[in-house]
Amino acid sequence: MSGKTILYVEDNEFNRKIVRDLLKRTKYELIEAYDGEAGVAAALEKHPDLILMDIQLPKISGMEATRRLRAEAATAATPIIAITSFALSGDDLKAKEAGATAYLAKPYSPFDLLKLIRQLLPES
Amino acid sequence: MAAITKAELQAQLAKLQRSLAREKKKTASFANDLARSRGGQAATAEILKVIASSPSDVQPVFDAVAENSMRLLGALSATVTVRVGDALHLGALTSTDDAGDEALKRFFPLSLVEYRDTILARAALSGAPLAVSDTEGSHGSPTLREMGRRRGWRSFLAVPMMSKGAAIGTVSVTRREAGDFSEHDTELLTTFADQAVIAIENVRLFNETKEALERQTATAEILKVIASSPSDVQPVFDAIVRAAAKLCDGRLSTVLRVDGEMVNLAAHHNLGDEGVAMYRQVYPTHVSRDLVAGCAILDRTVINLPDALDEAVPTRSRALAAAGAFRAVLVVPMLREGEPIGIINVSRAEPGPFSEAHVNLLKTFADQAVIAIENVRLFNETKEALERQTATAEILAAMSDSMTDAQPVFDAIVRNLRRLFDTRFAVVQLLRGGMIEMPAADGQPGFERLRDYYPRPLDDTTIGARTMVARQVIQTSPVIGNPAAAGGTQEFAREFGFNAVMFAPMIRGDTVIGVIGIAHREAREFDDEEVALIKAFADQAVIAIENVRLFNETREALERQTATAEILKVISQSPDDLSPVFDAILERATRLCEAQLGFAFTCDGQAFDLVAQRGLETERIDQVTEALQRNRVPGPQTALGNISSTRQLVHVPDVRDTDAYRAGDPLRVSTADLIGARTLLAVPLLRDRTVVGAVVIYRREVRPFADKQLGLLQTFADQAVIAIENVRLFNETKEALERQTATAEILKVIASSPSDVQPVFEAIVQGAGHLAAPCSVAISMLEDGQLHLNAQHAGTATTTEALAGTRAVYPLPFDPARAPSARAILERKVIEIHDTDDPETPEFTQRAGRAGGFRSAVFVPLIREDKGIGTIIITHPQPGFRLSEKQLDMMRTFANQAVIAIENVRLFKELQSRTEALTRSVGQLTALGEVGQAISSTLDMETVLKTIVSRAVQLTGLDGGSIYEYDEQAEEFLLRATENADEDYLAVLRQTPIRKGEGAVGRAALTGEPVQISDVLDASYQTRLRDALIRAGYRAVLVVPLRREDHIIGALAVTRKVPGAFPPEVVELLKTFATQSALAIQNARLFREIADKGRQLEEASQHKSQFLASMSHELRTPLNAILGFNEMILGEIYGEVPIDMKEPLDDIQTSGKHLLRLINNVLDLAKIEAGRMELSLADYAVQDMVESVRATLRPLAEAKGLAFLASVPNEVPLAYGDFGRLTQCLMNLAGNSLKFTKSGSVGISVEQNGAMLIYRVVDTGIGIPPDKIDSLFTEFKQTDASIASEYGGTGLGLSITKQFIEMHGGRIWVESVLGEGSTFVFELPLRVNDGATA
Repeated sequence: MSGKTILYVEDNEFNRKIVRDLLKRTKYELIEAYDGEAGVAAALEKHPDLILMDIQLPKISGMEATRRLRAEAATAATPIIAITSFALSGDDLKAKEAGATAYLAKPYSPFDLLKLIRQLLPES
Repeated sequence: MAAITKAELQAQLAKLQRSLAREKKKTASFANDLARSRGGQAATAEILKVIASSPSDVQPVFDAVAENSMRLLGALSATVTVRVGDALHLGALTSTDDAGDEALKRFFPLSLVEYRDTILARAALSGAPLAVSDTEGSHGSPTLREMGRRRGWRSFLAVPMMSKGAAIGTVSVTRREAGDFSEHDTELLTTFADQAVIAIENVRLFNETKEALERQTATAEILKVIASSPSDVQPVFDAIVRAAAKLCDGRLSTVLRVDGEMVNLAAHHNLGDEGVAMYRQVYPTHVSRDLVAGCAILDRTVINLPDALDEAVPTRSRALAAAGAFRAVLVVPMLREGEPIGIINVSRAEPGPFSEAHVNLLKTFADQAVIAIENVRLFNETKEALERQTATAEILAAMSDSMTDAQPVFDAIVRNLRRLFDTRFAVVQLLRGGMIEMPAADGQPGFERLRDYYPRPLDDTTIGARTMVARQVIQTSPVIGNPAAAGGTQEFAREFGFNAVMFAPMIRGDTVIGVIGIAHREAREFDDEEVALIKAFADQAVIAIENVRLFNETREALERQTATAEILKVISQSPDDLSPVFDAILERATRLCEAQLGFAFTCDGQAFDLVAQRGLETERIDQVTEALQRNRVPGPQTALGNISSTRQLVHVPDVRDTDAYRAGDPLRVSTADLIGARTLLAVPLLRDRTVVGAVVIYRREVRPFADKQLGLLQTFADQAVIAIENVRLFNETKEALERQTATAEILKVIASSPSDVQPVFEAIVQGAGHLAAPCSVAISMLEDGQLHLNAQHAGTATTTEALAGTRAVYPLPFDPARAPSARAILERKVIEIHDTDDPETPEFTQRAGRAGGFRSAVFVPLIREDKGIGTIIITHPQPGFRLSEKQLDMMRTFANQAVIAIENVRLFKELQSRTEALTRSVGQLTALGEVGQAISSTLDMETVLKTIVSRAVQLTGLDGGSIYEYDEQAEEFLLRATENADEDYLAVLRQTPIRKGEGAVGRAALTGEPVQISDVLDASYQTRLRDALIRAGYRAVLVVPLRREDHIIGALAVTRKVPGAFPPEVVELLKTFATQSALAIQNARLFREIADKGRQLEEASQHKSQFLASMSHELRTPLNAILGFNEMILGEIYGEVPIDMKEPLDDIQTSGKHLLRLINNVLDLAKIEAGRMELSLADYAVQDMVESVRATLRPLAEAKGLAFLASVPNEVPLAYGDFGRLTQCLMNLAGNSLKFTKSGSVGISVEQNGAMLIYRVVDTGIGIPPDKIDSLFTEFKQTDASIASEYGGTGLGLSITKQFIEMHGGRIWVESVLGEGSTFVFELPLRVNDGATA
């Protein structure tokens, strides 16, 4: 029986490692992508159950990637947590407009992130 | 060029807007002045019109003066007061509001004694204008300040209304704001005051005239009643009480008559039923002092009682006054020959004395009443006599053929004597004036010659005489040779052939009036029967004679009475002319007094002037008139002289038998010798015990006048006095009317000719000429040290040549030694020249007199502000001419009016020129305003410069203009804007830009001053543009450089097709335009630079924001890793953490979070600065916010051992705003407080105040020094650099907090005591407006 899959689109290796280490002790499976285009490709290919989408990404931004995924039937309903470093008023709105399900400001507490993931995607 | 910031640009624009606003304000104020000036001339004319159209009522004039003063001086209110006695009364006011008006009205009447320190009183008492620039200032009196507050004004100007050197009132204005009044204001208000004075004078004159007319009419009416009611005095009394009450402003009037010791009510008017009843209770009563009327009767004096209720008034009169409801009482006694026969009284409901005019009027009425009473008495006596006579006449009708003449009676007596006694002779002898006359004798033919021996004295020579003396019948027989017979009778007996006589005396009462006698040819005794018969006959003769005498007396009385009535009629029909009255008087006086000559004189107190004569032969009239003129002042012994000194009647039986005649008094001698006067009777004409004339009658024989004739002449004299009074009254009235008419005429001319004094001069010489006919009148004004002839009016006796001769004299030098007019002007007094041929007269005036055909002259000065400015000259062809005091007064009035007219015209012209100047400057300011507007509304330089050059050309009325901008690098002038420029000329200009130093433009640029070429054809003007200018037809050029600080930045040039210099005001105006142009060019340049800078700044700012956003991201990413790993290590993801490592790991976490806050703040500020911060508005619960802050900070508080309290009332409703940002704010403040508080507590509280929420963060921390509070909310400021090191912090928190709160439409402040703690308070709307976000 396979666990639920989470796609984390993030260009920073250290941040990816935090989530990797965080989810290691859970039943969630982690897929990683390094830029916006790769993130979209991975999502469409592997159909993750939840996507963590950094906003500030190379190639295409997380916003654009989210919009594209929402336009695809396969990922239209997939929960997407937008993670932004701009942490300013308006960012949450923009993320939601683009189609994000939830929003988390950088720097985030890893435990808060895990809590949010569990809210949106129960572990079992 | 130094970098220009946005702030500098804003300052520049603000400056421009301010200057525009100033100009607009100036324009408005000047336009206001203009309106006022235009109004000024209209108002002056308007008030004069009101004066001319309202001759009887001063109120409309006061109203007009107040209204116009207020309007023209831009005042809040205006007031006119009039001085009555020692008080100022309110004449007119302009309304402010009801309460203010009431307050002002209560202020009056204002006593000049009690309130002499008030400004109105001071202006009135000093006769000078007074102003208070600020009633709230130190100079304003408390009274004035109080009044100012009630009526809403701060400044006050009062000018006195001056008449004949005394203030008769004031005109004052007020303004809402404090400030000085200008000289022009004072001048204008003074003019208004002068006009008010004219109006008052006019109304006074008019009312005097009207009153005089009324008096005159009343007097004439009463005279008519007297003339038409000779038998009854009642209608006269009734007429008198009616007239007296009306003309003396009385409520009621009464006439009381004295009858022996009693006094009774004879007539009353308006007494009312109750009053009549009360009077009937009192009267008739004894003449006594317990009544005012009684006192007047007993003392024979006028009593003018201000208040009959006064305690000093006799009780009975006080009771009468109370019952009749009157207070003031005037009582005038009616005196006949000094004896009181009654009183006339007038009473008023109000207390206060009656005027002198009223007293005099009532005296006249009293005189008339006396005449009427006399008339009626005379009439009644006559009637009684007539009745008696009629009775006697019936009895004696048989005896007498005639009742009118004694002669037929005497003839009948002698006829009957002869028949009864059958004798040859009978006589009637009468004793008259000590002489024996023989009116009748009858007998044999030849006997009538006996009459030749009569009259003869009453002596012992005849038996008739002896009989008169013996008073009994005497008979003698024989006569001839009888030694007992009287000698004279013996001679008569021999001559006429008789020898027995008997005489019987005629005795009336106790007086022998004559004898009757009979004579026989033969000697014989008369028997007893005959004696009895002759006695009876004598008695009957007495009756007959008496009868005739009585009849004649009656007839004479009737005649006298008729004559009196007739004269009264003449008086009432001839109110303006004395001669018909005197003619009538002399006619009747001479007839009734049996005199041949009559003369009437008027007297001026010393000299007598003949006004009428009767009986003088035509050829003697001139001679006599001349003799009387020579002796106008009579010698003391003459009749007139006597009258002058004694005021008594003079009766001289024979003028030749007097000391005066023997002493050769010229008047006495001439009257005696020239006209053959012998017996003289003269009576004085007395008015108020003053001799005003005399009536003299003469007989050409020596025969004294009878007593009744003396009385008769006195009556006539009294009537003459009335006539004189009447005529005087009439003439006064007429003169007053004429004066009034003349004055009104001139006022009309002044009103209709506000801009030209000439018509006024013409009207004045006309009016003056009319008043002083047959004189000529001229007006001469002093101008430039010379006297000019300004107007001329020819009198009837002045020829055209004479007029031309006078004109030829002018202008003449202003030399008081030569010209009397110069003296009149210099000395400011009337100068009279009585004879130009007098060697004393200046030589120059002698010549002027010969040229202008005059011998006497009067010079009346025109005085303005104590300075002579001209004269009115009145000339007469004869020497010795003088103006009467009244005429002089009128001339002075004319002079005043001329001055007023001159002042008016001066004011008008000044206003006109001011108006023109204002029109000009308003035009200029409007243009400048437009230019200013153009500058501030468009930064397009070409548009502004086009506006400037267009307005400049339009305003100066020049032919064309252009503006150049100077290119400093190229040293060339570039054409920027033109107006009306010639195309060809423009083409040349564009091709060849003007170089520095070249032509007028170039020169102006070099010197920095305006340069003008008054004629381009002038050879000295040489430039490349000269030909083009000439071709275009330009002749004159004016160039004004455009300067900015010390730089030349261009030039403004105007051209004109007419050569000549440009007036200074045009140069000045163009300088102003040049300044504007320079400003515009400078502005445009500045704006260009600023716009460039702005764009650069904008870009830089965007770059900065972008950079900060990237930075924020770039910093967050590693920070996320640091904090994330650390948190996971602490969360023991990677295994158990040794106890020793926990603290350092916590420190990493804290520092990381601090770094994050720093990054967040920097980012927020960047966004705010870039204007990109947006609030995220939503409903939020205040309670939640406070709780989240408390929860977050509680650990920190606990760690420091501080009490940390937070309270929000439950009833605070849901708020609307940016929850996150506000939380951040509260967090910042509370965090700061915790940071800076070492012990004690920190508290958060929230309260709702209406639509506002007030947050307070209170601590017991170190506090903030007062001098640091202001900079507390500025970026990067902590109160002390050292604090940062001790407490940490970014220094951005308060700044950001302030920004967020202000973005919410709120504000923040702090209250702090150093060392005790601080309270940060912020207040913001409970529900923020969506639009309020920045």
